[in-house]
Amino acid sequence: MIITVASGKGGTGKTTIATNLARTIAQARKAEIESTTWLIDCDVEAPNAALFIHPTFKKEKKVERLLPVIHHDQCAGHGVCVDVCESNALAIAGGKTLFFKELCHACGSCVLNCPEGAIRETSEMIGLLQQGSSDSLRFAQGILEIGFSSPTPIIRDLKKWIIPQETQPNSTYILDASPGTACPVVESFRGADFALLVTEPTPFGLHDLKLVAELIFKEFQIPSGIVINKSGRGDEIIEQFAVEKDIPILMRVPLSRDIAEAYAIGTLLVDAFPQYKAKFNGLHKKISEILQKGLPKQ
Amino acid sequence: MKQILVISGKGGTGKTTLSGALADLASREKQIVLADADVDAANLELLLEPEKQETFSFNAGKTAVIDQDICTFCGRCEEVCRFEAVEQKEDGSYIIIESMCEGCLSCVHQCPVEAIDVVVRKSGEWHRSLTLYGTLFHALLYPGEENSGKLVTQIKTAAKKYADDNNADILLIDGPPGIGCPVTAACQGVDAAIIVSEPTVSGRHDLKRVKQVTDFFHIPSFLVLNKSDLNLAIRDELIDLSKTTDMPLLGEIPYEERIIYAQAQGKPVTQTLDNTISKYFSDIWEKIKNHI
Amino acid sequence: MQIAIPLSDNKGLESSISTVFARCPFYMLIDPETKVFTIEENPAQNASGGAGVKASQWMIDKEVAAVICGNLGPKAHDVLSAAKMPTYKFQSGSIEETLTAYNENKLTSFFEPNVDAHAGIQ
Repeated sequence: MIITVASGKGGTGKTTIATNLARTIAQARKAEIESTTWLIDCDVEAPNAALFIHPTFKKEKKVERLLPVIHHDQCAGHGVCVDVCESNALAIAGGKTLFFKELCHACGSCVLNCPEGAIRETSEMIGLLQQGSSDSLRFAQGILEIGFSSPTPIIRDLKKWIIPQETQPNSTYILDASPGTACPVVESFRGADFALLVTEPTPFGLHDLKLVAELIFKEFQIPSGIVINKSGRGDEIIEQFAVEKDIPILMRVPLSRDIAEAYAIGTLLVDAFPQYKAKFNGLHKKISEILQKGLPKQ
Repeated sequence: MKQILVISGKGGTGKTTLSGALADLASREKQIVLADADVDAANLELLLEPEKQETFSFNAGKTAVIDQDICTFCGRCEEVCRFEAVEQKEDGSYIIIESMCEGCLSCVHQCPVEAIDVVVRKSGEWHRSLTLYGTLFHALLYPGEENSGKLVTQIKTAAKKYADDNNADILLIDGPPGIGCPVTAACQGVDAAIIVSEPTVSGRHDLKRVKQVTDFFHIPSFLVLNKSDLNLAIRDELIDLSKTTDMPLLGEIPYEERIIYAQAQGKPVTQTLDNTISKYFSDIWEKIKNHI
Repeated sequence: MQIAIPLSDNKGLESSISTVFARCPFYMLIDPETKVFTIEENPAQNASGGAGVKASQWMIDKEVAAVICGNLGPKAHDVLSAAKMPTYKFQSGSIEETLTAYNENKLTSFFEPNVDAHAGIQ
């Protein structure tokens, strides 16, 4: 099963929930033969999950894209490349064809359209994928190189690297998405079986929860569930929304300075406060039940 | 007119809380214009009670659409598409998945029968609104859309023009989280960046990443430490970092649940908190005035 | 002969000169002697990226003889200097005043006169 953990708003506790859930499932299934549990950190601009999981990395893979190279001896200055480039990465000035790498989106259109065949391609690294493990939990992340604008290709490659086309029944993949509701989050949801939405009981949390719920509804139609982090005062606004949209609230983690302090130094909840093991096992069970037979009654 | 950008790298450190408080404090002494550049999840409006005056469409870019009446099913579009946006259906026909289409139009040029049309996409909207603290420019990017960097640029351009035309003293920009395109777009042309961080392993990690971005654009950066007493060891580390990397510390705000509850009131926290806590924000504002 | 000048509004010869090069709403193309002009919408103002490149290319394609502007981003600088386009810095004042300063050679160039233009990545 593939579970994507998202929130819309940054800082609500996506990574907290994703890391603790993944660790708990991995430990619970340790004894099962041929079962693998993966945590995949899809927040490639600011990957943080490793700070809590402390994986030992074993494999790396570069994410590359093909960039145009102009062969000036063959260039006849037609300017077709300038005309077709939607990113304005090419210009012809003083009889020279200029190329601005940082604007290029690597679409390959200029290469295809040059009447002289004067544009070829070279490979450039835009990000790095890493995989490893921590105890029984397997872990993977992607890192976007600074200066490059789109995280989406990194996320796409990361998922392809780790998740096979046909997933095995004993494999669980937990994807920690980035904040927001834009393209990178959409990519993190593609192919997921369940959307775990983490929110906080504030107007900010609700506002962004609505956006991400709308995204799921519009694009994916997969079952979802809510976790209220920093729960306590103000839960009613989330509860009201949950009832309206018929999305179950699957777990609450209270607002607590102790929990914040453990988080500050990179300790998992389930390690700092062992009673949370049962809570996260419970969360896993509820998600499995929903996937097997439809929404449980609250 | 000075442009001040508030960013954080990591989400949830208190960027918008600070922006709201600064909007309140600054507007008591100066004329300010506000912009919410966190277009994916625009939250500043939840603190400022804006009254919309004008709404504009955000047309992100182009997308390609296959005209099924002309298409000969040759599949050339799928071959050339670098973004996996072309899918072949069971009946052999091809469609372009709008959410994956980057608008490069390579398929349009390559289609041997000119069966692909270019369509403009409406990806969001933005508004000019009135608030008690100054005019606010804010947006909504529709869920699942891209090009947030371009929308950030549009809002900033409009906000800057308005600020210049109205002789405002300060344009205060609540920035997006992360280090990607929207942050880069938000950084263009600002006079100072205030980075809000927290003394946690994640906060420290992302502070370093986002400082690389402001350094790349040669923007003077300043640090605010939120929830600063959550971990004193990491706090001290970040204060050292501020000294060694030319990022003056503007102030610290302690971990206070009262601040979280104050936000829920839908106003800048400096409007509802008592002096013992709101003074942390006023101290920061005083320091900003000295630097700018 | 035409000079390109970025404008922040369209009020004929009373238009305000824009300090923004690539994303201003209009450009004026004007003969500095006869003062005959046209005002066109800036085709680059809504570009997702590379607005400076697009605007510069447009001016080159229009075969303007010179550009007068407030600021020039690095990519626009690269394109215009590669084209050896005379590009002058706008200080302040009206279009009339600026053209007078241009005609009297009082405007400073953006490009060093003796340095080879080395532009973009080739």
